[in-house]
Amino acid sequence: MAWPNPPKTWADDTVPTETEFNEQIRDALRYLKGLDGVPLFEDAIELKDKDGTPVGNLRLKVIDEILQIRNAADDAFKKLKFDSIPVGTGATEVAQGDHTHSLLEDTVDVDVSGAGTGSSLSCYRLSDAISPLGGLDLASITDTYDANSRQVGVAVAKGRPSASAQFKLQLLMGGVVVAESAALGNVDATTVLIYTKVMSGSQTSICRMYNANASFQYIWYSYNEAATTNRGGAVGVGSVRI
Amino acid sequence: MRLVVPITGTVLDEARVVGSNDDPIRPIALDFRNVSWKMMELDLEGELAVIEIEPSKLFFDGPNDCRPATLVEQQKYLDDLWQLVKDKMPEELYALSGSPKLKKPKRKP
Repeated sequence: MAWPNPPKTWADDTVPTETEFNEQIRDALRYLKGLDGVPLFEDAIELKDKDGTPVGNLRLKVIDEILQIRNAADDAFKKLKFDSIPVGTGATEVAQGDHTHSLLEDTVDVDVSGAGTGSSLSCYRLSDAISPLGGLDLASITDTYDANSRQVGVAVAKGRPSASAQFKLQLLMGGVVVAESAALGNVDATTVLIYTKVMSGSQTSICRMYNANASFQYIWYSYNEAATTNRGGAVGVGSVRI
Repeated sequence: MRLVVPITGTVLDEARVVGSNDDPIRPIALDFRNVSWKMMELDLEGELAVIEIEPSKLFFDGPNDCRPATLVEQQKYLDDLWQLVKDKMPEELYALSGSPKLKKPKRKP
């Protein structure tokens, strides 16, 4: 049954018939209750501000298929606020109004390896021996990261392996090998690995040179450079948080 | 190219995905010499990782000789790795690599 359209305007002394009464009263109440389908409200639905010190009633309105909440007094647009969603405080809160969510520095740290230990070859300067199928940690940092943070890790190594196609550079973050280079060639080259990861709490990041050979091999640093400039590798981590 | 590969290593904290630096969580020891890779996804429950593979830019003519790799050679690096892993079950790949299964902390009952 539909809304009686138009609702009848009654005059004095009019005695409604059974049909009229059922249509105008019964059917209209059933329509408003939603018993015969979805009632259509022509303008808006207004909800009273039930606070002890009310600020203003709100109206639910649809404009161009967009549900809007507007102030009942001046029809001004109101931003939504969901008090029933407890998600953080301050900038992380889902709250009424416009918010600026900033990325803040959590921590920034870097470690550069010290000098290699060998000095046997004049042109290759210093070197480190790496055990078969073993890794040499060129640089390592341990930091404590915020629970809502994200890190960018960078591992850099400059060197020339004694066995071509046997050495690979690895970046470890939180005990996970997150990136690995292809095998290094017998050229003096700089290798860089970059990775983004989510870590929290105390975590270690490592720049590791891995020897895939079944025998001891050497990584030579500062090929044809002065020994004083010798630095085999470095690891850096930048962490941002909300 | 992305590959799904089994992982090895020792897990220290499953919830925070933390491994041991002495035996880090990593893909099993397949022949990755001619490629670099990055960890894209890590599934400790399924003991699998999705890694993004890129071919090496070097071609090794001998143990102490290398030169820039051609595009054809770089594509062959990817093809060789794909042939190595395709149609193989994780157990076959563990056997092929010789890597042990992932070690995880025992869960409390």
